Amino acid sequence: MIVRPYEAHIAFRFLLKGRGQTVLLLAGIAVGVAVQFFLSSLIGGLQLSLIDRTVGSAPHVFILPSDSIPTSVLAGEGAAVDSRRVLYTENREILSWRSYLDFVKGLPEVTAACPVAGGQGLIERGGASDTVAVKGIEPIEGARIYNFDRNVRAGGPELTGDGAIVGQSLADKFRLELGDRFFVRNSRGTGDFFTVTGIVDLGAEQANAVVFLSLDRARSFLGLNGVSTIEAKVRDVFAAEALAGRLRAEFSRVKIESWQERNRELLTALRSQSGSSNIIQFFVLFAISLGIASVLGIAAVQKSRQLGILKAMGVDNRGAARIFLIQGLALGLIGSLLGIGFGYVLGVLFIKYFGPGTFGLQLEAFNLVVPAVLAILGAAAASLIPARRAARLSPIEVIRNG
Amino acid sequence: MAEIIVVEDLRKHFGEVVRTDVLRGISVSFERGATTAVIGPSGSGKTTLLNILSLLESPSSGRLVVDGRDFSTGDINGFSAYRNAHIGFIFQFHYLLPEFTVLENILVPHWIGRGRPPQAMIDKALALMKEIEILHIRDKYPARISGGEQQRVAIARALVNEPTLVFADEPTGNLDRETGFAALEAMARTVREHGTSLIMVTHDREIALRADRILELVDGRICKSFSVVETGVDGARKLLQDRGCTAE
Repeated sequence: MIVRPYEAHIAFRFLLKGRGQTVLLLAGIAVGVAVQFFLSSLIGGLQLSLIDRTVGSAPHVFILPSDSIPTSVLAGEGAAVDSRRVLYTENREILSWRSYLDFVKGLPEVTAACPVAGGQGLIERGGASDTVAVKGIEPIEGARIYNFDRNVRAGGPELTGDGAIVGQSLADKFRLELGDRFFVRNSRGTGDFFTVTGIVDLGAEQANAVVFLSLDRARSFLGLNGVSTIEAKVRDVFAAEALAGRLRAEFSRVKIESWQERNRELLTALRSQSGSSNIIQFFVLFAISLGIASVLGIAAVQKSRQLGILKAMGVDNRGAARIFLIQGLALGLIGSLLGIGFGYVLGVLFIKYFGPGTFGLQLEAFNLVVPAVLAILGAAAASLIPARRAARLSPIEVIRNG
Repeated sequence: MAEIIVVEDLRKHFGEVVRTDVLRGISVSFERGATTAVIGPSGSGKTTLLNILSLLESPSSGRLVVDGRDFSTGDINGFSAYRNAHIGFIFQFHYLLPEFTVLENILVPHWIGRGRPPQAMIDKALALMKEIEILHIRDKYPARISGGEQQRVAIARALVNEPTLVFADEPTGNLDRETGFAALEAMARTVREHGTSLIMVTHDREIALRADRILELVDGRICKSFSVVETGVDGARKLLQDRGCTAE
């Protein structure tokens, strides 16, 4: 669109002189853009926070023993001799876990990989008891996966001998403090005493019903020869499913799961939330565009006299139309800039006053630019209606009718 | 070329189902540099004729040549640039742009045709304003000035691009007689000084008598056409009082 100087000159003067109208339109666009920005930042922040709570302090990819039907005790050489081992291999353990672990650790996107000896236990203290997840981990890799540096509330991340790191909710429920001893019964009915060396908060209630032990201690406690899981964490949480797919292609004797598979409902909920947020944003934009169309439409009617005389003096149809397109574009542009500023301030204030204790906003350039661009396009589209009217207006109608 | 406008058998009708013939074959030519008054009772087609001559409305049929260029057919929108460069308009209701100051209003035709006016153009506009005594209101908005002043602003705006032709429709229409005459005087003087051809529609015979030539329309046809210069003002007044038509 080539704009002739007079078109912009007249367009801006119309906007400037119709100040009340212009201010209302700008405010409408600004509020719309700000709301869109705020909403997408809020939803983005909420989703990130939910995902972080779900998997931020948890593994992203799991290598598990295969689900396959236990091999017959009579099948294969020596199988009948050591039947228990064959069944264990199939169901509870990965015996050759070191090769899997080395492979996973060698992948560039993997930030941590840890062998885990996991199982159920029953914690007993006083008259109370409750089931807990017992997890034996390698201290360094495990600390990375469960973010011990960030999540440890008391004590330290070290795991030696009978030392145990317990989840926060467990500690609260059984009034466990550093140095306290507690009893955990295993599935075979026997059990051991452990000493609290650390208390960790992993966010979710369920995740906190856990007792971390050293790998070796957990294996002897649970009666495992190998490990029950290899847990891995990746740089980009959403790349976990792709990695799981690759591992599935690589290994056929184990089962691979990603956090996405384990949290289908959450992902569906997040998708629905994004969808409804997009719909709301679309209608906000639509409403703004309608507002601009109607106000500029009224302006075009109000300015019929001026347009008529301008046309008599040599403004052609395209020029008359562009006077309104420029107004629409200018309103969209300035309104968006105001909206970005307004939205940003709103976001910062929200974080300042409501942020701590809830969840943060995801203030991203993308969230700013998209509503701004959409608002500009919407405003331009809305101004097409008055522009068409202006183009069609015959100067003679105005002159004849006064 | 002595004629600025030549018109042959110009016809205009409105409506197809209920047809109204407004101009029923007008053939006339307008002298370059002269002032012509078009008079006639209401409904005689004088404003329609003015609109067609000023390229704001197309004729239904007939020939229209303005300054050597044939405008008999074609799109009104396509004549925009020509109107801007060669034609000035003064309307009954002034039609100043309320969003612009007096000086800015006068410069609007320049903006449209040639963009931002250079200082030389602004100086020219100021000189023109001084000539018709509106320099003191240069920065006022149209709503803040009197009707007579508004009309003078419209006159200055019509003349600023140095058009070859100026059209005025009831230029003193809604002014009191004294103010109207003063504005008219200013217009006539300026037009004469710039050698511009002026064609104006008026219902006021006294105003018409100040023109070089009078064209009277009745029922879409030319009823009388004579030169005031030749007949003298008194002769012209007598001619106007005669009931019959003298022109074919």
